[in-house]
Amino acid sequence: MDLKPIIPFEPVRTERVPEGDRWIAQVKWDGVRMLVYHDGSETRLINRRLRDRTRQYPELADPAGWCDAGSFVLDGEVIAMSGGRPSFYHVMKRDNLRSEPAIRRAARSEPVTYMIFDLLHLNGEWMTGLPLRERQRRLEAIIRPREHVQLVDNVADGDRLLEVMKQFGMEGIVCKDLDSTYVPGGKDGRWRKVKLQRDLVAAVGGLVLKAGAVRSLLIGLYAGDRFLYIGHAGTGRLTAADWRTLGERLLPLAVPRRPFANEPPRAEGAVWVRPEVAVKVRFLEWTPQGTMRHPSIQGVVDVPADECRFPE
Amino acid sequence: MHTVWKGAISFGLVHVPVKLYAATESRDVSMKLLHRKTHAPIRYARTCDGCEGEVPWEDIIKGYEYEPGKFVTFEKEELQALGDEASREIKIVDFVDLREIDPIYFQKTYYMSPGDTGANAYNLLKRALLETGKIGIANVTLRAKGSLAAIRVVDGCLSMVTMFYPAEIRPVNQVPNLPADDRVDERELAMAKMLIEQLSAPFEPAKFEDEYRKRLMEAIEAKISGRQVVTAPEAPKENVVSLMEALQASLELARATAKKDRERAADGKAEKAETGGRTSGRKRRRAAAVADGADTAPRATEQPNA
Repeated sequence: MDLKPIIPFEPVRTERVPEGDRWIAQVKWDGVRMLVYHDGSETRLINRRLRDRTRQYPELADPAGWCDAGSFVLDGEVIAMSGGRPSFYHVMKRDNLRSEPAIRRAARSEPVTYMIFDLLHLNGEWMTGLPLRERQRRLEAIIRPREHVQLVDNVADGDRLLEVMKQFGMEGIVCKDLDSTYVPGGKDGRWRKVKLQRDLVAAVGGLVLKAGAVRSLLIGLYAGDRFLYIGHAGTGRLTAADWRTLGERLLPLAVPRRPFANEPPRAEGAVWVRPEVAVKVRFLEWTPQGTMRHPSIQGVVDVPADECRFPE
Repeated sequence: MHTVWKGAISFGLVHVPVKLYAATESRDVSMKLLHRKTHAPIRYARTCDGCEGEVPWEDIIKGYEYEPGKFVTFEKEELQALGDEASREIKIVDFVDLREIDPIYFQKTYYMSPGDTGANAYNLLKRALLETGKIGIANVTLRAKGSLAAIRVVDGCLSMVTMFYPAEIRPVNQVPNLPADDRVDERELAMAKMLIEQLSAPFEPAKFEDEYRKRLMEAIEAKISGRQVVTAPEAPKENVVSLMEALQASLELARATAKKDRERAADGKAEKAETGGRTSGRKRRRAAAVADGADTAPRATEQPNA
């Protein structure tokens, strides 16, 4: 492919919706961040960690039907619906499939939708130096939305959108400065996310087995080079089969000594593992002891353990 | 595998806590029943002959019809209580040789794992069965049904095969048209025996597969790829578009309410202009024109579609 993959821009987290006419708000679609590259002959889907995911989503592999441009790079979120809402669990299930027939079947039975929100390259030119409103205008001109490809809408009033997100039980919003340019690999206040639910990516440091099956996971985050326990997480969205796969992946990582620097409670009989597998966890709030209240696991994610750090 | 039953095997004074798992699974291709006209799935409803209404599970009990139209009724708990004492125990009564049991008795096989405590007792029973070459015959109650069972070792795992009671097996003399006289032609018999001899082979189950299932799966794949697919009529769709529409409707509702509130407050301030480049769906183009004002150029000229 002639286009060099880039790391997408990240929003910073904020509690308050920014005010002013330059700001628009967008639904924060809960899925997998994905850039679609098309250099005129070849199409590639590449995620935030620069891993190729083209095989994974055959329903997006031929953009000729929905994008009128010779070459382009799109930024957006791949989502999967379940129960009328985007479901991170379901999109991870798609993201983790390996066998070709299973992928083909799932593309029919549990199709994903690509929610596009930015245009980074068009017909041989990088668009990243243009203000967002210009990029959006060009984006809108080339995309023909259809069932599995949608444009993310702008909403002028972020507070209202946040209120609607609350009503619908959705993840939150991202506010963007219409005058701002796009910085590959960057992360700053030109994009600001306001989230209604807390979640984080943490590494598994231990597991509790019952009758040979994984019952719960002991998970932690790094602070400097200290790995700190932050909670036990139970089943969440995972099915019995998911737990079995997780067990098979974790047990070979068993180590004799506790990987956590602090001492987890209720850890009698826990099997300790080298922190290598990362999971996405949703939880209610932090307890005064620095652990998560009501954590539940949303899925296994492809993130190196040493990047599982306390949020700033 | 999930546990289908928990209890203990007992023989003499030895007590072996075990859990049961189904050892076999049906590989039938499951098909839904559809209405030929609409292609919507058929739903079964439990209706009452007395009131013509559909009856929820919690209002359903069991009744034994002891004479036509007359019932004695049982609540679920009553039936459970009947089985309770015995139903947690697999009591081995005899040990026999496997060859002594005709395969007609065998129903369904379950694997057994040791219960939370009891790995030792489990291993003990397993070794004892292996070294004596015997199998245990037991009484067991599974899902409110009593049956006979054989305890044996399969591939190093204790397992239990439920068996029919002799009363459940029909005598062959009920089979119609069985010849009373079993004389055959000696030369024909010799030829048949020779044929059997030639076709004799060790039993290799792996070489057999369900040919019907294979043909059915091929037919299904062919229909899907040939797009001979019928779809059920509009079920409530859970796609992104309908969610986006619902979000948009809520936003507009919120906007209308907010506007009314502002008017009521009558603070006279000019309403904030829409800043969004795009709002949604049908309104998108108009909103873009409003928001970006003078610099909204016709798209076709600005952006050649290469």
